[in-house]
Order: sequence, then structure tokens, then C-alpha cells
Amino acid sequence: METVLIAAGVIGLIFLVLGLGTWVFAGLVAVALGSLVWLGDFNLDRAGVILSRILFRAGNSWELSAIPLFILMGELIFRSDISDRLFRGLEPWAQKVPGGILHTNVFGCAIFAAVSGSSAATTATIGKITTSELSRRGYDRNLSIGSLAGAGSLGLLIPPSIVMIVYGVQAEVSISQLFMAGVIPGLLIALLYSGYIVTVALSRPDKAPRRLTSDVSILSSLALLAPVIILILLVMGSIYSGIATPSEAAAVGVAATLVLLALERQLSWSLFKESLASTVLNSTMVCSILVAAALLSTAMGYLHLPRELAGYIASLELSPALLLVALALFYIMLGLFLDGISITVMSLPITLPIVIQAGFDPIWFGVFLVIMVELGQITPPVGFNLFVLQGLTGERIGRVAWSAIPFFVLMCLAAAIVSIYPGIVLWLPNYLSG
Amino acid sequence: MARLLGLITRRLNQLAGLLAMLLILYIAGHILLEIGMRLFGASTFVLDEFVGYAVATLTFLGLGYSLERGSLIRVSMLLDKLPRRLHWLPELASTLLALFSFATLAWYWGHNVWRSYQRGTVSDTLAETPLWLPEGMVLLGMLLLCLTLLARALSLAAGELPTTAKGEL
Repeated sequence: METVLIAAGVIGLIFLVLGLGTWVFAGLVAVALGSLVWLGDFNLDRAGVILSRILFRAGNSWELSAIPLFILMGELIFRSDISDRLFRGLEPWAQKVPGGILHTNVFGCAIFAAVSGSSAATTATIGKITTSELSRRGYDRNLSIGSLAGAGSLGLLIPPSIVMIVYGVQAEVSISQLFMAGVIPGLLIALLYSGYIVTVALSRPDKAPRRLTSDVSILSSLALLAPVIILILLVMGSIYSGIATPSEAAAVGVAATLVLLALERQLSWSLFKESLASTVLNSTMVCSILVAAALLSTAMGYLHLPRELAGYIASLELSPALLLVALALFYIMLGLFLDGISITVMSLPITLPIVIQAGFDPIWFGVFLVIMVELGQITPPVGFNLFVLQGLTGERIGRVAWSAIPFFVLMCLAAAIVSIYPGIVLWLPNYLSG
Repeated sequence: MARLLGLITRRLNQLAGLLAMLLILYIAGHILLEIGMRLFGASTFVLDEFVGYAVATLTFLGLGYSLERGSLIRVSMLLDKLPRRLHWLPELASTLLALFSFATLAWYWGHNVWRSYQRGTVSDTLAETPLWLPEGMVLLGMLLLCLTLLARALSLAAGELPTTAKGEL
């Protein structure tokens, strides 16, 4: 009983502090401190000494270096015209399928996701080009915004992925294996989206006009796609072949992007400086939340919360399927109000022991969690992809969220599929690691 | 007074931001160097250690810089609902809460850094780095964050509303 009260206290504190509008990283630190002192009867001295050490230990981590480096790579590409060429290169292919260049939204995002670690960056980069093109050519606005919102969140599932690095560090599982595990589910979701677009285009031809005017031939499209494919091969290839760790692959990716931009005379001092400045902002945001969450999870550990709650859930003897449904609902609820990194770091100390105890594979759960986080990116009132699209299209957030609903449902379907057939997730990492 | 503090903090944060950018380049450079040396069967032997310090320093030095630029995530639902003239209330409360938490941690962490310095504690690695150095950089970042929060609290108390932007990812 006491555990339940303490858990309620911690959750109440989190809601109060974050609801007030405190920055997530500072809020988590405040809750960690507050819950040790008020709920755990620690004096301020002891709480301060314990937590300040964790602060350093959590930040002092070599694995985290993949985060700023992958962000930098994405920022450099975002500011170059690589994404523009990606769009023009995909165009002649997409035009052969019902739904036309709507598919460039889906596959543009899927491909860009393979060089970028975040969904906001993916949505913004692809959306910057496609939203104006699509409306100019008379495509249905709901469909173009919705497919972009849904596909943009693939940035998290298709490696490299910042959320996966965060999960890997926290759950102490191999980030390389997580990266491999995300590939097939990511492609599955992309195919579901494309399938939906084809269905809509066939049943409602007015929503997706067919216009066969691309001045780009299939052959020259390959030349347009080359830079991004080279980058994917370099980064993903070095990880999958086992030559490089994710951090090393990220450094190689940064170097390759710089060389590529320099060769094409796109690299300017201002582009370089802006990318670096933006990288500092974004990686500080991610890493600080990660560090703060380590404090919170330490505090919860001292209060014996994770163990006792896991024990309590185990005593309910839920079937694995029911447990997953409960977790999915829990994550969708959190996703309404919080961003992906915060959800991951705050929930894991509690959910991971429960999931492991129920016999789920931690790599598989990582992918499941990322899909849950992706759902959170496209649900209002707080959904970062929605914010990005609101900024890009000038539409109201409600309209953007409304257009995303079919893609939300499709992603739920994908979550159900990987839950029923966990092999979809685990096959590639098992195959590649022999 | 508040204005002067704000000015000083902004300058310091610019400097810290610049340092953080250089650290990112350093991290990339060191990793590439290590990969290059591996081809010849050599190693710097300090990659994990130094890159770890750089990441910690980068994160903490970047806090004040990012806070000023509004790129640290917060839940803005209350602020969106509240009329603008009442914004100072939750803004001030959350600023003070963050200030109190980080000032407390900086206080205890400061003791720890000082002890490392006095005892000459070195890292348990080949490089035998004096630990007060990386620990001190993290402390510096925390202090700069406290200063940024203090300047923000003072300007809020003086009736100025800082612009709020949403973080992204």
C-alpha cells in the first residue's frame, strides 16, 4: 500500500512540476530531489550528495557522443540541397504508382530517416520541399499533411535514431542491435502508408491527380539519389558490418557529409556555423533530459519503486498480450503530453523490469517503445511532428492532427503486427550477429 | 543591476556555446583519429575517457546557452491557456524551482570537485586525468545555468516577459 502512495506522490509531483511549464530536464531534477527528501525521508545533504554524483556519471558517457554527431550530420544535410535532390530523384519512380508523388513523402522520409536521427528533422527536411509541390499539383491537402506527419516519425524507427541511442544507454542493450531491429518494422510502416495512399488514390481519383510529367529519367534519377545513398551505405554499412560502433559511424557520417558538401561547393562557413550552433541546442536538450532522467531513476530506485511496482504488476498475472495492451495505452496517454525522449527516460525505470519479467526481449521492446513514441509525435496537444507541420504549412494544429489520424491508426496496426510476429523485429539483428 | 547581470550572462553563454561547438568538433576529430590509427594498429588509448568528458562538458555548458534560446523542451499547455498578463506567474515559479534544484546540486557537486582537487584524485585509467578538471567543467556549466536562471528570475520580477519558444525533436 505504501508503495502505491509513494508512486502516486512521485507521479503527482511530475505532473505538477512539468505542468507548471518547468523545462523537462530541470523538472525531473527537481522531482528527483523532492521525492527523495519528502517521500524517502532523506535529508537534503544526503540527497544532494547522491544526486550530484549521478549527474556527472550520467553525463560522462562515451556512448552519448553519437547523439551530437548524428544531429550534426542531419543539420548539415538539412541545410544543403541533398534533400531537394532526394525528392527529384524519387519523383519519376513515384509517378508510376497510383497516388503519385504522395509516395515521395513516405519514401523520402524513410530514406532521409536513414541519415537522420530525429523525426522533427525528417519531417521538416522532406516537408520543406514536398508540401508546396503537392498543393501546387492539386493533391489533397489532408492526405499530403497526414502522410508527412506519419512518415516523418519514421526518423525514430529507421536507424540512426536518437531515441534508440537513449533507450540503448538506459536499458543497457546493444545500440547496434537496436538499429538493426528498427529497419524492417520501419519499412513495414512505410509500406502500410504507401498501401493506404494507393487505396485512397484508386477509390477517390480527385484526391491524387495523375500527371506524368517528370523531366527526370529513371537513369538520371539515380544520379540525384546518389549522395544520400552513399551516406546511408557509409553510416549503416559500417555499423551493420560490425566495423564501427554507432558513435564511430556517426563521426564517419559527419566527415563524409562535409566532404560531399565540399566537393559540390555547397559548404560555406555560415552553413557550417549554423549547423554547429543548432547541434549544440538540440544535443544539449536531449542529453540534459537523459542525465536528469538518470537522477529520477536513481531516486526511484532508492524509494524501491521499480522493484515493488514490478512485483505488484507481476502479482496481477496479466497475460503478456494484456500487459502489452496496457503498456500501449499507458504510452499513448503519455504521448499526448510529452515528447519522445522524456517518455522513454521517465517510464523505463518502471516499465523495463516489468517487461523483462514478463519474458519480452529488451531489443524487441525497444522497437515497440519507439513505435509508441512515434504515435506520441502525431497526437495532440503535444506532438512534435504536428508542431513542425503547423510551422511548415500554416494550418491550425487541429487540422494537422485530423489529417494524421489514418496514419496513427496504421501505426497502431504496425505495433500490433510486430507484437504478434516479434520475428519481424528480431530476425535481422539475429541474422547479422550470427 | 538585473540588466547588467543579464548582459554578463548572455556574453558568458555565448562563450560557453562557442566552446560547446568546438567540443563537438573535437569529439568528431578524436573519433576519426582513432579510426585512422586503428588501420595502422595503433590507438590513442584515451578515446572513451576523453570523449566522455567532452560529452559531459558539452551538455552542461550548453544548458544556459540553450535555455536562453528557448530550445529546451517544456510543456507549454498552461502557458498557452493563460492570458499573457499572467504568464509571469508560472514562468517565475518554474524558473525559481529550476534555480533552487540546480543551485542545491551545484553546491554539493562543488564540494566534491574541491575534494578531488585537494586530494589530487586522478582517473582510474592510463591517462590519469586529474578528476577536478572534467568535474570542474561540469560545475562551471551548472553555475552558468544558475546564473542564467537568476538573471531570468530578476527580469521576470521586473515585469519583463522573456520570449518562449518550443524545443524540437
